Amino acid sequence: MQNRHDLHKDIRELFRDPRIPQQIDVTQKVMNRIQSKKERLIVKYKVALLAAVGMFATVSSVYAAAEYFQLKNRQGEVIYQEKDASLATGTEIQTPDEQMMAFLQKRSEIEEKMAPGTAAAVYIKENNPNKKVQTIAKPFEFDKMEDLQGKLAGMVELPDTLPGGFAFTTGSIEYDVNGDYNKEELYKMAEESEQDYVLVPLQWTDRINNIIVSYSAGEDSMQVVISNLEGVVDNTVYHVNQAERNVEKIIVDQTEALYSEEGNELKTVVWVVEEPAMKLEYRIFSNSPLLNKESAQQLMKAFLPSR
Amino acid sequence: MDCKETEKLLEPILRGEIDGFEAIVGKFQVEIFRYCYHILGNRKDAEDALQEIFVKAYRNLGKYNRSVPFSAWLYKIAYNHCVDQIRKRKWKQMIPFFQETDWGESHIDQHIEEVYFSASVHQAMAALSIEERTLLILRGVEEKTCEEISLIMKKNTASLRKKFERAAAKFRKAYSLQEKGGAANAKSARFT
Repeated sequence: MQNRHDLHKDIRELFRDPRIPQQIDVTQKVMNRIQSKKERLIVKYKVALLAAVGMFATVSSVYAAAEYFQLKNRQGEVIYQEKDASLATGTEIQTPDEQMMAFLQKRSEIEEKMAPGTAAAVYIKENNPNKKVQTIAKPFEFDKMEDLQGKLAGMVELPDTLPGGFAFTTGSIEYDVNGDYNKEELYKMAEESEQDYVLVPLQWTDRINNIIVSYSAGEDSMQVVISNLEGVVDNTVYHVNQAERNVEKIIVDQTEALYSEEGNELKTVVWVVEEPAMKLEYRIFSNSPLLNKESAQQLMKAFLPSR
Repeated sequence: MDCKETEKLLEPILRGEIDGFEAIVGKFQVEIFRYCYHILGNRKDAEDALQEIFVKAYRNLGKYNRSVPFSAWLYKIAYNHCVDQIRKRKWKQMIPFFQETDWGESHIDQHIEEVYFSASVHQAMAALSIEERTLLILRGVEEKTCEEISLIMKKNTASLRKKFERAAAKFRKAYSLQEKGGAANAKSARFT
């Protein structure tokens, strides 16, 4: 008796034609994309968290109560979340070892040597058991607001001054990097080189990754980090001992924000702006006594696009 | 690949060891490519889709439910991605220069075979919906079980069996017409 599969043998044979491509390899292209900063954003917090949790775990094994905070857009969709580290899934408590610290130190030295506005794929020979290739991007730097605005070409509006007498001091823009490099080529270069690392320059894309702007008023300073959220899934930041942070929701012109204080020193305001062209997260940090829940609302107004 | 082997590969990735994802891509890329190639009917589009599917899988790895076989989860992403791609094409001709040039039928045939292995199969597949094409490839060619396909397409197994038989009959009819009539209808055929 003919079995069910034999009934369709003609179709199966038709689709097993030798002209159908049998070989395909997109491994490197996929890995380049997920290893680029943008793709790593999703797990970036988790990775940073590993070290933080590890350090805290040595002094306290008791986690704070699981709390979380959310920001929603006008359609009621969650666009940002803050959760306690104990709620992070897929993480493992570990303390950075000497090898990891040495590797990170070398990475930082290389980044220091690079010129602003350049990016590279870097292979560090020592303390790198998994032969990881790092993409290092050194943002474009500006000490004049007009130059920063010129580079942004109207894509993001930035104020020259902020309420409380804060004036622009420096700014930087980092674009996404085109991570199209050949890992094997770097390994070969490393074999032939006597240096402890090798690199190949990478090109920027025209997509902004983040903008960092610093403002100051006398001895007080304030930093504003604007991150491009396009393509970021599940924008969640995990904090160790979230319950020890004093977090309050504020609303300005129908835009929700979280104002938080940690140990009466570091204060943060965070909100997300969804525009047709871009989805941006704004985060203001400061230790200044001039930043409080009331002034946070004025600061937000300075950045919110006029409707 | 069995589930235990996949589980072993997934654990370090979920702990943040991104490099481990390379093995996942290596293991599944050929079969997912084959699926995209037949559904999209074009090697270049299939290759682009393949990259997007793995990037999407990586981004959503935290949401992967381990009670479902990993390959079914990956196919589900591939299926949804191909549906999106085909929707985007809806108002475009797949091969736009058909409209702009006055090539003879044999030239059209030749062009199709540059992007897909057979002009006749291409035209016969164009007669099927994306759901029918998916059933034809997964059940008829890759020999997946209806249970596995039901996880991919979110349909019940009984209806999938019937739909598969109908899709196979429809494909055979369209294919035999192509074989008899050549690419005479190529100008109106679209993989949408």
